[in-house]
Amino acid sequence: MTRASAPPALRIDGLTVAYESDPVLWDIDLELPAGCIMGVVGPNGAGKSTLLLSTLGLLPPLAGRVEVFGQPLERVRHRVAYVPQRRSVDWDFPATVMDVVLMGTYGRLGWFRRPGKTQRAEAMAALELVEMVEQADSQISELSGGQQQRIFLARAFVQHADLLMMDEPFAGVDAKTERAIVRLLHGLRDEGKTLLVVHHDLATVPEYFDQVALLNRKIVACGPVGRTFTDAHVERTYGGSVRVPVPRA
Amino acid sequence: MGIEFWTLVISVATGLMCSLVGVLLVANREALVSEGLSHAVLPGIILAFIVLRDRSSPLLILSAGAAGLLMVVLVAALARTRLVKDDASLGVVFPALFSIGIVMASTELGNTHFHAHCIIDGNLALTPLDRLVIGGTDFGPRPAYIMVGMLLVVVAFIAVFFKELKLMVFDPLLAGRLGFRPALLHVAWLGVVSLATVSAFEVAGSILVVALMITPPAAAYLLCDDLKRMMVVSAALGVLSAVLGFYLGLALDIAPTGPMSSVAGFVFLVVLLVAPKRGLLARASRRRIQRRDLRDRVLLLQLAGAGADRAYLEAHLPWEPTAISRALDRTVRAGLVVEQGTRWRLTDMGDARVRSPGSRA
Repeated sequence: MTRASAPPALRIDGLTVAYESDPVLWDIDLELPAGCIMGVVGPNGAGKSTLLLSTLGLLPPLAGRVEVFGQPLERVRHRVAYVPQRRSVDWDFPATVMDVVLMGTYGRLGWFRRPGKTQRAEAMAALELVEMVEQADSQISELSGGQQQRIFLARAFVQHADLLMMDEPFAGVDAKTERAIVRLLHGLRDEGKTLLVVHHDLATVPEYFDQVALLNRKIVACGPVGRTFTDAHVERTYGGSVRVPVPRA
Repeated sequence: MGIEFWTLVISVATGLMCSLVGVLLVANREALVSEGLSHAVLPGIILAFIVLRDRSSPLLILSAGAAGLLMVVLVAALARTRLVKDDASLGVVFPALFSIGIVMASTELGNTHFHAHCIIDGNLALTPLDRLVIGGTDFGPRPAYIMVGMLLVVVAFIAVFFKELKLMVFDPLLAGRLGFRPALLHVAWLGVVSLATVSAFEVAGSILVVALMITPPAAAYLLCDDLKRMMVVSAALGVLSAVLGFYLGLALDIAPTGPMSSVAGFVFLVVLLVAPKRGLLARASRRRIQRRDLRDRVLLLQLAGAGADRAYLEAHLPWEPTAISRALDRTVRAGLVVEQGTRWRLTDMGDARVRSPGSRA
């Protein structure tokens, strides 16, 4: 692979984050090679969402450095997109599906410029990817949980980011939609995008991800799934009661 | 031009401005911020008046706007401690500021026209008497110029920052990541809201400002799918309330602000009832249809196989007998059920319907 010499999509070095005086993440080292899809798993309260937020610069760290494609985050902010948890916004807000997807283009537009034909066409293409074209003019409060998740994905796609970070994209989504989203994510990876996904279902880790980070305030293990996602590591992450499940048939 | 003309101008400008400002407040679930602002601006007004002794100075509005911003900042700071909930911190801060204003007004200004009832009721009937005179020429009432000027400020702010305001309200996290400074924009926006509030305050009084700011957007919310249309519809309802309220006031020979708010409330009530998608009537009829469909499906299920007679149906369906008759009528008319002597049974079409669960009878 020619990528070997290229910098990783994401490198985290000694990241420590605290809320008030309570350390949530302790001395995190993590490396995510470009063109991979990595799952971040760990028990509740392990700091998975915090890891995403601080990596995105939304939570100031107490210590540590984050590099994206070999550069400090501020310089490559536009190459990173974030898909927040679905419940992080008010779905009763007066907006259509198209409105929300168009928000992904705002960053490129900058202050004052409004989205035009080009942006609408991009948004439409993204809606086609997530199979939501028919709902383009629907009010967002009429959507199901899975549909809400999919328009958040579409909104991230129109940001044209190279690194996508997602917080539990499968939460509250039915099995069929989950499979559709996974296919979509694998398609993005095959196009050379890098994905970091907070996930909670251990059973699907080997099927969904190439790389895995096991997190419980500290990184227990991080690397290719085959080598990293072992009984011993899972036990250390979850405190002994959980084993690597047999993958689904 | 006569007093009536100017009163109409002031009414329409106030109604329009308030109904535009309120859209973002309602969409951001901070409607009661207008309630807070309409009271918290008082100490700013009184303080400026004590210092300047000039009721018509534009500094009064700026000072009041500053008091409004002070409220916003204090509420946010108190809420951030997490020791007091958001709504409670608003409830603590704005009455405190208002009461300081009342104390200042009562002790310092006992003999002026800053009486408590003027603060609460406003005084649109008298505002046209406050003239703008420059070099001996009477240009009309000063408040008309202030209101129209403030209206232009509000329209310009919303027009220039529309996209940024929309993103700030819906997803401040994304706004921040894309570099749109949502915290700063929010403060600037609430600054505009406090200026709008204080200029409307003199005309409409502190309670009616809230009515004019929240009622038209709340009605527009029931009618519209997106923010832009909500702005347009809210503005239209605001102007409608202002004009109708003005003529109602004229007919009753009272100041127009009371009628304006009453009309706005009445318009809201009508919209609440008849809004096509989200109105109470539409919802009730949707539910009635759903319930009817559900009953028809349950009836078909009872008739599957050998069919049933009336006694069997009455024993198995704990419905009013007339409800059973109506469901039988509907399904017979739809060709799903046939009557044979004393029994009913499914047609082939009815049988197919029972076998495909989820489809409607």
